[in-house]
Amino acid sequence: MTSIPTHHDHQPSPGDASAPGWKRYVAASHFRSAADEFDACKLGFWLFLATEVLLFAGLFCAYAIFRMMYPEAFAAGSHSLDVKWGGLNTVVLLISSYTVASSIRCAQLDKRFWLHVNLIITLVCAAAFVVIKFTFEYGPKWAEGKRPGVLFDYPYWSHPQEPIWWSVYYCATGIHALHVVIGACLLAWCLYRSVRHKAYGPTHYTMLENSGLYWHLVDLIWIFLFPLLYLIH
Amino acid sequence: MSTIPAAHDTAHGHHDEGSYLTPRGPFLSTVVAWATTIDHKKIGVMYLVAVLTMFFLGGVAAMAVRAELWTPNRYVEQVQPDGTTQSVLQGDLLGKLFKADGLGAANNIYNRVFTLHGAIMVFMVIVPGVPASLGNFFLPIMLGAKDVAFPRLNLLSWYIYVTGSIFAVLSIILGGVDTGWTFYTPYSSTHAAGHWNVVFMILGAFILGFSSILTGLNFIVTTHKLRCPGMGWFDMPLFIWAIYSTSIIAVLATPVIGITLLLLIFERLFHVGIFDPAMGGDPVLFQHFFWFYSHPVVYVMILPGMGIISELIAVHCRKPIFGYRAVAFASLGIAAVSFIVWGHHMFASMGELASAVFSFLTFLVAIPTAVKVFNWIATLYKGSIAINTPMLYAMSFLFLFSIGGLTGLPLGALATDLHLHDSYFVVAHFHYVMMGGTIIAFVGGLHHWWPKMFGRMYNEKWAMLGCALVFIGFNVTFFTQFFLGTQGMPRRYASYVDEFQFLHQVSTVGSWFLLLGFLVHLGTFIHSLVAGPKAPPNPWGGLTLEWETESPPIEHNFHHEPILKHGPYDYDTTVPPHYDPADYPLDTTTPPHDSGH
Amino acid sequence: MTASLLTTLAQDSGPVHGLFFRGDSAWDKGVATDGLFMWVFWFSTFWFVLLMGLMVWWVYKYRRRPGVPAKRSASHNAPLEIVWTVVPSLFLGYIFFRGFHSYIDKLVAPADSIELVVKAMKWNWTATYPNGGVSPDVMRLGASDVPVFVMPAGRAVRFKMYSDDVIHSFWIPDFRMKFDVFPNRYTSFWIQPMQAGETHWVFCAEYCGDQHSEMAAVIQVVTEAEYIEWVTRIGQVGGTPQERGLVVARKNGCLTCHSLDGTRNVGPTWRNAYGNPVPLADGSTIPGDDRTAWDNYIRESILDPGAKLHAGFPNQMNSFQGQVSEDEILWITAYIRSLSDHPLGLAALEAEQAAAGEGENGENGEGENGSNGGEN
Repeated sequence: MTSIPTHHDHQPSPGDASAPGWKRYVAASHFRSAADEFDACKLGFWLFLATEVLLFAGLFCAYAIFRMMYPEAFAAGSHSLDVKWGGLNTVVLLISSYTVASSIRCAQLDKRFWLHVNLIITLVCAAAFVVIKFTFEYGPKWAEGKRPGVLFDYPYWSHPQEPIWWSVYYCATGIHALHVVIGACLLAWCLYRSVRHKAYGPTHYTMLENSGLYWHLVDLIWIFLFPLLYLIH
Repeated sequence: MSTIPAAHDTAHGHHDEGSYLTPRGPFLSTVVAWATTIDHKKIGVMYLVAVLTMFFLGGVAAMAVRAELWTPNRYVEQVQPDGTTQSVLQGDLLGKLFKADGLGAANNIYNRVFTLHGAIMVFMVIVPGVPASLGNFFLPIMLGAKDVAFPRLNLLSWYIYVTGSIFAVLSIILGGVDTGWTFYTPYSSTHAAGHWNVVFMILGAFILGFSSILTGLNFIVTTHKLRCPGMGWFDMPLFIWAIYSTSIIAVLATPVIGITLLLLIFERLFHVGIFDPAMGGDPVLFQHFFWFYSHPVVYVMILPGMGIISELIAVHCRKPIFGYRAVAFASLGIAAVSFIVWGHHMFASMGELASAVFSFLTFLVAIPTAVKVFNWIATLYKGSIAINTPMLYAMSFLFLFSIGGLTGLPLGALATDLHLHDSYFVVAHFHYVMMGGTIIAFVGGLHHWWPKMFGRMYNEKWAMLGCALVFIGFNVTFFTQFFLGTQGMPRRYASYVDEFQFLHQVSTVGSWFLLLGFLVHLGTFIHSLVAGPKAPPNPWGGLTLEWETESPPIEHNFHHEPILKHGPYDYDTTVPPHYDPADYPLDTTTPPHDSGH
Repeated sequence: MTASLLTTLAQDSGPVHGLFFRGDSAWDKGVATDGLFMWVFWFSTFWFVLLMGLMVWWVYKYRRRPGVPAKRSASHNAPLEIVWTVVPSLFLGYIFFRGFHSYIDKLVAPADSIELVVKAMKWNWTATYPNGGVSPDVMRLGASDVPVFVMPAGRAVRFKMYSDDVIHSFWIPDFRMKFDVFPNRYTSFWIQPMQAGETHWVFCAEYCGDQHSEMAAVIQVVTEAEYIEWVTRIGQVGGTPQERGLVVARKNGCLTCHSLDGTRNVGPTWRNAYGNPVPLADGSTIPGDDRTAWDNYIRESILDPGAKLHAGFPNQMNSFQGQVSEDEILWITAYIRSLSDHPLGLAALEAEQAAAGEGENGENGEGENGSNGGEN
């Protein structure tokens, strides 16, 4: 199969093939310049982040309505969450947000070693978040019978609408955890590209920047979820 | 000529490139090349094929619905061969066709067919239809760009669209869904039969949402970043304004339906209880979430249609759009107000205060819509109006959409809505808007841009005949339904009282004319592809950038990056590209007016 | 000027009104709604004819002629555009205000209204009257027997509505009024029938599943005296067990899904069922010629419909646990027996009741069966 050259294919790279990826990067030909492409990618990604915020807005809205309808159930449910683990996860995410921002700064300054170190710390934090969430929060609660909807099987409930609280809790934190995993995958891909192709440097770090923005969003949503779920009683 | 070679042309400005349709290599590699293309024109054509396929499926369901309603379902005493009398069900055409046993089963088949019609037409045809096909093809060309900002994402959107549609079709193969396209809880979450069918249909709609979001995002960025040199915001064609406004709505509203459908899937699979009254959940919350998306989406459906009409009227009347800025701002105004009127779908379920507020806001959104109609009609004044298929479609649109808009008034007023809500009046109203507006504009736009897209002219007489049949068939089918609604016929009924039979039969006869009209169009288009005369680059004398390039456009759209020299509708002062000034007289007796840009 | 002309046209419930509505509304609030509708209709017609007239005239007048260019004209005109934005807005404001005013009128019932508690379920309406009576009357409408709700002329009637399962909507087209009915809260509106002797359709307007189009009722308007007699009668339950069973079956909407004449519907028919073997969905069988087995099958199917599912019928039925008393189950059983030609059916039932003396003592025979059922 012969591949058909199209105008989207990159032009022959300037400079020799051994130069780092970021130096060899050429913007897609339908953009007037690499700067234009970078701006377009950032605008597109910000729009995408807006859709993510709106997705969670639906969940926050459901939370607000049911909390208004069943305040006791929500107080009781919130009370049985462990602030210790939630707080630890908040700290973990805050640290990772710092390191991901640093990694972008390192790319801009062409410090590849520190770029990698920062990304690795971020990924470790992401893993820690997920492990804490599942081992110390979901696991024991599920075993006790504190489950969403009809699966609820906790004998010592204090309010008949507690299953709704658990539904909101699992949906909100579950969808958030899914975003943590997606964000970690994006950052892992960036790490791979950086190690393998030296893809990011002072003149080209679009993918890294956007993945970082995504990670900040994941962090930001947790900053809202944590007090709403853990600290309301 | 309004284009001059750009000083810094890229290495790709070959002068010998062929049309984007030119096959490369043997059949199989051409297919692979299309399936992996990142050319917005090819993706637009692929969307066109996919959307028209779904339109055909939804249309079959619509014809089945009208056929079933030819007679009401009745038990009739019949003497059996053995001499006993037995009551036998009659009038259940679909029931007999699918060998349903008894009234309940026969009604259930009708319910699945109308759900199929609604879900396909809304999620797979009208919402993505114009932006994804004509928008994809013409947005970059009209902006003077080589492609959309994110070509790979564009291809991904198409595959997501196909995946979502496959889930919906899968749900039909598994036996269909009888929830109605609105998926109201708790019926959809706990009562509707067919566990996986329902989940797959909802999942299909959820996946299609991603396609909308990604396409919208792509168009917004393209409009911001890839306008050609010289093109300011108010030099953009109104079609671009419409697609831009549509994209904003799609990007802002679709995530909400995304989370809603996700929660509905959880509800269906795990009974999480958020929308289930039996567990303390709230079914009206679902309606709020659903309409928070689905009302703005009404404007996702209609705004691109309005954009097409602006182009059609300007080009075929050779007049600047009257009040260009007013029309552009009306698009944005409609987009903004559309987010705060969702409650008018729920006047029969909300409290007095909320209903009053939503009713008031609903009348607000009527104003920019009316302004647009006034502007279009004022554009006709002193024009040079071609009587051809696109222009006939533009007139059809103005006729049908005005009826659709005006019949929205008694639905926006609270007292009359409590009578008309969920009746055939609503069915007729939204068909006048969705079909009389969007689909008519879509078909009109297709005729307008067909020579450009495929490089062939079509037979004008047959196309005008098709247009006339569609117009007549549409009105016969749906105008009767206004009377049915006011007289008391509820929507989504498989059967009805005898008094409604006459009007139902008139409506069904109308649907046959509608079908015939679309078949004539199909034949005209196929004939055009096979044997149509070659289209010139600018058959109508349009001024927007797509008429400067060849028909069909070359692979990179333009030989050189265009530089805009005139506004999109400066018909007063500009000879269109590819026209000889000697053959194209301009009005020199009247001094040119301020163009308003 | 225009407004007053339109108002005059709207008051005429003549031929145009007759196209849209089946006669005048049966309620003065409905007449007011029609007035608004006709006002909007003439207002819309005025604009529509004006716009379409201009369109057709201009397209004809300015049709393209060879060599004749489009004339230059103003590309925008701010005063004109402001006028055609503001003037329709004022009319729209007026429509909004009238719509709101008339809507409030239809929702807020007078204090002396008769309250009917309307229960919606898949796929039947029931109305409980203030004395606890439930309408037992039915009438054929379309393909189904639908309940009849009797109402006195000249009295305000307020509906307090709730649903047993999904969302329904109670629409009375002749009164130009509907409201949704929910499973988790009450909703209400009121009407005032004017003319004794009229009947009015009630339709379910919110899609609710298979038999949505069969979920209707009829409002029968009678004089105040007839109403009082009727409502007193339905307040008392009497008759043989099978007669009481029919009343209970109608009240609970059983007959929307179970036919009495052998035709297949959503559920199995009741005709000639009792005493015959029943194939079940799980492959087992309810044995024929076995009264205890049949009585238990009926009881269980009412209280837990999914437990023994008739082969070939999907489980579409709600549980009636807590809604139907043990006595009522006995009466329904007697009624289903009376529909059967099987030796254990009508023949045996009548023989038992004859042996027990008067019809009212027929309960004894049923009671015996009930205790049999209890042993299992």
